[in-house]
Amino acid sequence: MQLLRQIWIVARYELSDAIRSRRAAVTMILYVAGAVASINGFINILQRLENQIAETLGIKAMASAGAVTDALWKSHRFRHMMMELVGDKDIALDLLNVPPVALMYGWLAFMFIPMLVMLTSTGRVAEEIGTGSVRYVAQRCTRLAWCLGKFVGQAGLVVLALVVSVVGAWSVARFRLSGMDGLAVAGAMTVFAGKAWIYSLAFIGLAIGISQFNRSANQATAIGFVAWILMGILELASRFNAGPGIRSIWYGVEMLVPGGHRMDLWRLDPGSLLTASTFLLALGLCYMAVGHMYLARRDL
Amino acid sequence: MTTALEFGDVRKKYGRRVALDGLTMSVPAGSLFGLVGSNGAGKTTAMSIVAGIVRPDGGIIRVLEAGGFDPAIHAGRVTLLPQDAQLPREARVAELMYFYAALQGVPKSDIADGVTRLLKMVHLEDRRNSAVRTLSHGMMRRLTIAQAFLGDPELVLLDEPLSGLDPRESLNARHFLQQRRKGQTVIISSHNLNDIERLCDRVAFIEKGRTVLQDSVDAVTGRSRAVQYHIEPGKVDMASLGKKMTGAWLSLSDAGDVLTCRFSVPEHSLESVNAAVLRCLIDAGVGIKRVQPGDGLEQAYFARTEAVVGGPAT
Repeated sequence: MQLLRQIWIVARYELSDAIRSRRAAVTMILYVAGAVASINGFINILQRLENQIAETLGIKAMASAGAVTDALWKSHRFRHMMMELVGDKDIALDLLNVPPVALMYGWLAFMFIPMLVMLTSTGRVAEEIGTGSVRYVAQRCTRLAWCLGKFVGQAGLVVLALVVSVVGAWSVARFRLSGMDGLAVAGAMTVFAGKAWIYSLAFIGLAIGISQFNRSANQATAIGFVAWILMGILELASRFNAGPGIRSIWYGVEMLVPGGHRMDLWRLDPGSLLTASTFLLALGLCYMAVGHMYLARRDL
Repeated sequence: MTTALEFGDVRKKYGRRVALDGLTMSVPAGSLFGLVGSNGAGKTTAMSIVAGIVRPDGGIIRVLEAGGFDPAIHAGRVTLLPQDAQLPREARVAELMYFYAALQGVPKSDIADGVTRLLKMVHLEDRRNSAVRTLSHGMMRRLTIAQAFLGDPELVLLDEPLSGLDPRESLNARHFLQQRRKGQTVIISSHNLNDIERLCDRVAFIEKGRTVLQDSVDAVTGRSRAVQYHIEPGKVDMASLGKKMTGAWLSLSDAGDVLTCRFSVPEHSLESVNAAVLRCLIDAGVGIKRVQPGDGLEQAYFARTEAVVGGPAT
């Protein structure tokens, strides 16, 4: 009970400190700028493709994008092609029920959230160890409560940033896509934002874990980026090398990196979501625990 | 509880450098205890170990009669003013105090009053909504003193609390420390021996990670057994003075400006010594600038630690 109370107090302070110090503003700007720029770019490409199609067919080019794509998305032949491409009929059909612009938002969120988390969260513990401000806290709560509070606070900050990014991405889409079903897109984007948040938990744990080894925020951030790249390499290596016999060890590696559970987040069934959520949260806590084993014994 | 803190043969190394080399010390509960020592003597390390931010390599530590620091037992009962630690720069003064108070378990209903009272005492009430980064060095120091007294902890550790304070605020901080709650133990580490002498009732000299001496300030300075008379250099008739003060030891400094009288109790008392010596000096027409009981902590410190670290630079 005492632990939970201390975690809550630290998390609340972490969040309010982020808002006050403009760290939250910077994080939100990064997320919303990323989402808006990417969705805008996606719509530009879409419009160019549609104009090319119109030109080929000798019909008048459309003023706004989306109409052809929408028709294409619903066509039987395209759906069949998607099933062939994805290799999993259920996932393909699930994804085809999602508006393309929301699907794009989801892909972007999964793509960029690890990088943004590494950028904003990796220095949090290291900075306070470096400046010594942790010494005002160390006699008031356990080091575990402090780190878990940081974890929860950063997770809260990512929620805020994702909400803002959904609003930004949806607004651009609303403005640029004429026939967009606003409600469906908002709903789908929100679901993807939620899944991206679950995905981010593993990376927040990794960031806080790395941070506990360092006294410099910059050094921790640099190591965080290296760790993120390493995770990506391991994910790719396990995807390509996993197989029968000795190669089955790569399945184990895949389970230990966050990217190995991303496909489950794309699925729309609750079972997959629950499995992925459990694994990603557990991975985040495990990464953090590795760092904590060091922090718990180190001099501050 | 009779002992607030006990160190028994505590050792700590940073790499190959020895910070504490078997430190043994005992701090009585309710005392205002001064830690005095050279730079690198181990004062900050000792305090950090008590507060749980540095782990000792060996030895026995009993904090509030309950073993080494454990947040589960000591959170809210032991607080620290660290020497060179920065406060979070973007935090607001009052908000930071609320955060620390809540974290150490001060009841919600007591936090607002406690924070306001402490901010008033350190003259920061008008800056309660200011960001820490906008405070001057002295103001930050006062804030760090105030945070250490949140929730009236049983043991307060202050590492150089008065450094960087202007004379007025230094005086105010001394008053603040002297008005502490009854039974509260305060340990002050400082290079300023005048501050320690004026504030503390007990003192320990630490050098090279060991305790050279620990006793009451009265005993260390010999306040009850010696008096120094700071006089204008002139002709003091030491022979006639010596006759009047049988059983006392009189000495005059080389410059002839300090007359020291050491005496034994109950043969003599401070009153009887003053009556005899002052009359003699006045009769001889010697100008008296100041009368100081005891040797002064600085003098006692140099005398007691000379063998360990050498005398003062001249």
